[in-house]
Amino acid sequence: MTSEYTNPVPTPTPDTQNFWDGLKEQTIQLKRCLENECGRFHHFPRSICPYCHSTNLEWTPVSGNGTLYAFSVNHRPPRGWTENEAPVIAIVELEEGIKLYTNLVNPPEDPTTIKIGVPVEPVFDKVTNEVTLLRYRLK
Amino acid sequence: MSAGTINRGEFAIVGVGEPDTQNRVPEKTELSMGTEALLKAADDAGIAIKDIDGWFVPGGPSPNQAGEYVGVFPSYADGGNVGAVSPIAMVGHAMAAINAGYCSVAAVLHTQLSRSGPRGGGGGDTSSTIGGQFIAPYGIEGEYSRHGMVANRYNQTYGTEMSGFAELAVSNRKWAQLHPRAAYTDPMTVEDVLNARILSWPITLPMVCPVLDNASAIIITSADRAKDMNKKPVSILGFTQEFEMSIDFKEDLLDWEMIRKSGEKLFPMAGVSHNDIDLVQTHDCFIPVPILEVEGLGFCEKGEGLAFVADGRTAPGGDFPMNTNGGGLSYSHSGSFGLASICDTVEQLRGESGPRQITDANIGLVTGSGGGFTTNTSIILTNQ
Ligand SMILES: [Zn+2]
Repeated sequence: MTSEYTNPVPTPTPDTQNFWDGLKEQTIQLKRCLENECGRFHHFPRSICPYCHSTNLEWTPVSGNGTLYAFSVNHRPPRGWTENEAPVIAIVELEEGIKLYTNLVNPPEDPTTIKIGVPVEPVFDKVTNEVTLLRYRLK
Repeated sequence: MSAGTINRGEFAIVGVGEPDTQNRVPEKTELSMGTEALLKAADDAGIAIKDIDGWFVPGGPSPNQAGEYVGVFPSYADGGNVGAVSPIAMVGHAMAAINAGYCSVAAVLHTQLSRSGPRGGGGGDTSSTIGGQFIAPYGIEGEYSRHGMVANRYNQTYGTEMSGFAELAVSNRKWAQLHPRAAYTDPMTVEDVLNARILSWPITLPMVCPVLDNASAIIITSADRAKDMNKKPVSILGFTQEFEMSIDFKEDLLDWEMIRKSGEKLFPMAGVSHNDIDLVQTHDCFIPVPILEVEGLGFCEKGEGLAFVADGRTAPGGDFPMNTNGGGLSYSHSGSFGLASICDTVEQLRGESGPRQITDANIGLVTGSGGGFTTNTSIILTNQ
């Protein structure tokens, strides 16, 4: 893709830099709590585990495979959205229990034929030289 | 609920904390810096973060944003902005809330990254906020797009259809038709709702609140003072405010813990049961929300909300009157919501609602879910 991409792109912060850097390398890294009695992943990335409040955390690579948890077809996307008129917006639930907002890149024409719970796989979508977005494909 | 007096020495500050480094810290975010301060204060006090049930976050990030980040889901919160001295004012707010019994361990947290720029907080360029990073790039905008996902998952999970949601919008419209100040009073059918302009499939325009001009005000005083006032007082039997992750990061999109917790506390606090409630005002900002509210508050089981409100049960003449001014969908909605619902409930309980008056209306419940759906707050009112 070229620098002509005009849809909203993220600006990473010190909390999230590794996540976005990882996507550029085609890896998905999530924050995981290292406490034995917790050990949970969380998302969005924070400096504290929102479940047990430990700061003993580690960036951990995950496969990114998951299932479709919810979706909608947004006929009124953000102002200035130019990529396609009505993106299929979705929540994907990863094997690690984390849910992510994303888009489905290969939706069928009729949204009523899409069933929640079906398997999906990650698509690393390099939209600019600085930003790779994590989109998903119905398997 | 009895009003109390705060006596000298009755409250104390038991912990303080500040981050190791500050002033110029571009390597931190507003919320990571605030987290440092909070952890130190909790450590200083010898409490765990999960012990905090009162959450006072003036300036900088909202209590909702800060709570979601740290994982503090209190039973009372205040982000009241009264200018630069808001953090001091919050000390008084915290004492008042503890005194009222709404919370027992209060944290006041102030964090602002004013030198190194807003990161994960507010500001003009929003591309570094949580929403700007993890939501907007995927074309998700407006709560309606989230609720398109909620409604669709609801239907696929429970085998229901959008016509059930549409019927609720129609019932609200019927109340509005009886209200002289309602915004929308044209006749509307289920088919009209389903065939209207799609915002985020399967959500259509009449399933989403308009943005209009709206104002309301209420006066609250002690039961004692109330005796001398003009009208028979309407008593507040119970108040709850519960928090959890926003709609963007919820564990279960169809079972909002904050509503369930509200319901579990509210009815015992008020000393009434579900059957005692004569009318309910829900937050019909987006059509799935009132359904999740009646389920979460315990009026019916999960997945049974649409059946529960079906056949015009919530419309004028129905046996479960709901949103009796027409709700946000048909009466009025300006973004913030709920005070008009309280006004309407008070009028119902006083018997002042004219053609909308419910027979024997003695106990009413008002509920609302907001702040990116990080919080539910509910009250029960009575004329008795
Ligand atoms: Zn943890």
